Amino acid sequence: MSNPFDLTDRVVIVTGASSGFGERFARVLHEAGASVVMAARRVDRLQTLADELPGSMAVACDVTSDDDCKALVDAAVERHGRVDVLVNNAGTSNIATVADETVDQFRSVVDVNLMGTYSVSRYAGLQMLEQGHGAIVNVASIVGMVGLGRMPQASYAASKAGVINLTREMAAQWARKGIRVNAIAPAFFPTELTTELFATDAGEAWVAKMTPMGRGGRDEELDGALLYLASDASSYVTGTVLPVDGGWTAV
Amino acid sequence: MTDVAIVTGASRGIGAAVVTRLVQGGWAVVGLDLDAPETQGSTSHWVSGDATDEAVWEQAVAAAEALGTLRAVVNNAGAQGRGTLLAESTVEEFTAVLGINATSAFLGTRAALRAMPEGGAVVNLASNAGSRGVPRYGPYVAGKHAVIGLTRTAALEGARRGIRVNAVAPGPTQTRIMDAVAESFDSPPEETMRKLVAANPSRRFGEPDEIADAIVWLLGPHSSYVTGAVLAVDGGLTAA
Repeated sequence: MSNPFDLTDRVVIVTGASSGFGERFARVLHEAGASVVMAARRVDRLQTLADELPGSMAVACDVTSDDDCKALVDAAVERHGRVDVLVNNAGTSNIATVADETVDQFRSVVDVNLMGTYSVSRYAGLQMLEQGHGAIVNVASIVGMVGLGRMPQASYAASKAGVINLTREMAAQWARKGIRVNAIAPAFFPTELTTELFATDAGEAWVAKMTPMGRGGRDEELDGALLYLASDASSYVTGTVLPVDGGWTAV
Repeated sequence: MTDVAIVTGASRGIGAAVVTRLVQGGWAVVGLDLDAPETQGSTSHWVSGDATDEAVWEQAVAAAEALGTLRAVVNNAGAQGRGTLLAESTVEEFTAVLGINATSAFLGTRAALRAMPEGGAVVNLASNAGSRGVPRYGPYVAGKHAVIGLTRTAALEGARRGIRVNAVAPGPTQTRIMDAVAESFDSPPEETMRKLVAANPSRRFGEPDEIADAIVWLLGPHSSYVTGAVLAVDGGLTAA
């Protein structure tokens, strides 16, 4: 039996690939056989990574620019002729209470997390509709499913909730066209967005207390969900939100 | 020590597909079902019996422990009932359908929580009927909702002991349950099937192998931080 998780020769776009989950995802997808098209604003960091991963390419892209999102998909198609998988990973957050966060701050988080996901998905989706196949994996968050309070970030919460129902709606529209759209909802993993959280004993203790498994996620613990949803192993899965959260949202 | 899995409803459909994949992956498998299976050759041990019977679980766990270390339980046994409005259902029907879907999953989950001191994983088979209503299948719907509540609670109780508990929620899948459902309506089965396909965003049923891939993933090391989750494998049915 062939390995249903295999991604040999699949063309995969990953946004936000210059750091955090995105850089890791690019490496994991490359390892699984994919030709990875990596996008981020910081193209110097991306190029270093691209030099390490044969067959991959780096594209400068600010996902808040609709033109950039179109150019990203065009670049992938020009190089490879198609886009098999899109991983919408680019994201940002702003830790502030609703009382303190400004409307501009709120809007800038929504612009990256929700509008960015929408724009790249739309252009990739148009290409996938033409091909008649494709898979989109959105990196959402448990913060798009539950409130936190302790770590105030209404802009992030609202944007990720938006991503979750954008996922369902795109899935419903495109299911019969051969395009699957799913979301991963991680809890807290060590990334640039959680450096401060894990830097304090109180932060780490809070994560342990809130998580039935009693700990945050480890770097490698999103790899499986990513490969599952990106590959043929999930050929009948669409519109689903897969929490990778040590049980946080099962409570 | 060999890793051992117990799979209920193992003789055909999704259960048989799970057995095949686990055996290919190097697991020893204790299969449990009412009838001897078509694929018995690939299981390491077979228990013929009712998954709602505590004594049958004792046999299954003993068989698993004789083969190696019990590391996984897949509670796949289920039945849909005859397809009757709640107003016309009897207590006996309700209890029986709840039993085969929910009590069997409870016993399998309990066996895992008791007999997996070194940790492991449980996957319970829920359904799209575990999160929404389906006219004429009230007892089945109640049973599958129960499976999801059981899964979430068991996940919380098992989390610090290294036992992960998740559910897979298939939509309409090409199995004999779907054949029986199609037969239960007044219109011809082909007509019912056609309507069910048309109601699915992907315009097709799932294959047992596609459900099995999700189950096997949830049993393995690549889902090590996933617990208490309900993974829909339904072609988008519950997203729409």
